[in-house]
Amino acid sequence: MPTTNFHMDKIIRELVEESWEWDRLGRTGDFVDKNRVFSETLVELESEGDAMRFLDSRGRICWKATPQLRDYLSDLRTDALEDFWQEDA
Amino acid sequence: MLQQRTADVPFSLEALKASLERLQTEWDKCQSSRDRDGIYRYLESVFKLVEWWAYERKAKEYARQALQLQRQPVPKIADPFAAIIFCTANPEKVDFKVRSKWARLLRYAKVFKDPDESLSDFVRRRGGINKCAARYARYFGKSVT
Repeated sequence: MPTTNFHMDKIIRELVEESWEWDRLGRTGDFVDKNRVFSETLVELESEGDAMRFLDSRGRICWKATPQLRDYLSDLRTDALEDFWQEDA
Repeated sequence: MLQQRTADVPFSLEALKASLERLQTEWDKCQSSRDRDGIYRYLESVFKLVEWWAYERKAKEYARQALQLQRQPVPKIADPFAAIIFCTANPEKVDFKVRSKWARLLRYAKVFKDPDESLSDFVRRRGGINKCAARYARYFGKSVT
C-alpha cells in the first residue's frame, strides 16, 4: 500500500508517531493502516487547535504546532526545569 | 504542476473554529502590543490560512462556513480574505473600508509575493499597506468584499 507523504514539523511528527505506536501496540496482530492513524491524529490535533496546516515555500501542504501548543510545551519545560533545580537544591 | 492535495485529512468544523480562535488571539495580541509589526503578524496569519484553503480549492467554502459560525445576520462577503478578517478582527476597529483595503493587500500578495518572503517584508518592499492595496485595485480593479 502506498504511503502518503505527510510533511510535519518535529513536534507534530513526534505526536503523530507516538499515536501510531500506541495504536500498533494496542492491537494483537490486526493490520493497522499507518496513513489512517496519521490522518486521524492530524484531524484531532487540528480540531483541538494544536496543529495548523500551511503551504511551505515549496508549495506543499504541511502541518506545524500552533502557538497554543508551543506555549503549552514551553510552560511544561519551565515547570520541569524548576522541579529539577528544586530537587537538586 | 500536479498538486498533491490532502483530501484524506479532512478539515473539520472544530478545526475551522480552532483556526478562527487562533486568529482572534493573534488580533488581540496585535491590539494589546505597541509593536508596529503586530498587524503584519495578524495579516500574515490570515494570509497563510486562506492560502492553503485556496491551494485545496476550498477557500470560498471554508470562508462561507466561517461566516455562518458568526452571530447572524452577517454581511455577504464573497472574498475569503475579507470574510476571515470580518470573523476574527474587532468590527468596531476594522470597518468595511479597512477590511476591504487589507483584503486587497492580501490578494495582491497572493499574486506577487514570493513563497519564501514574509508578508511584512513584501509589503514594506512594495511601499506599505496602502500602496499594495492601491496597486491591486489598479491592476485588477476593485471587487466586492
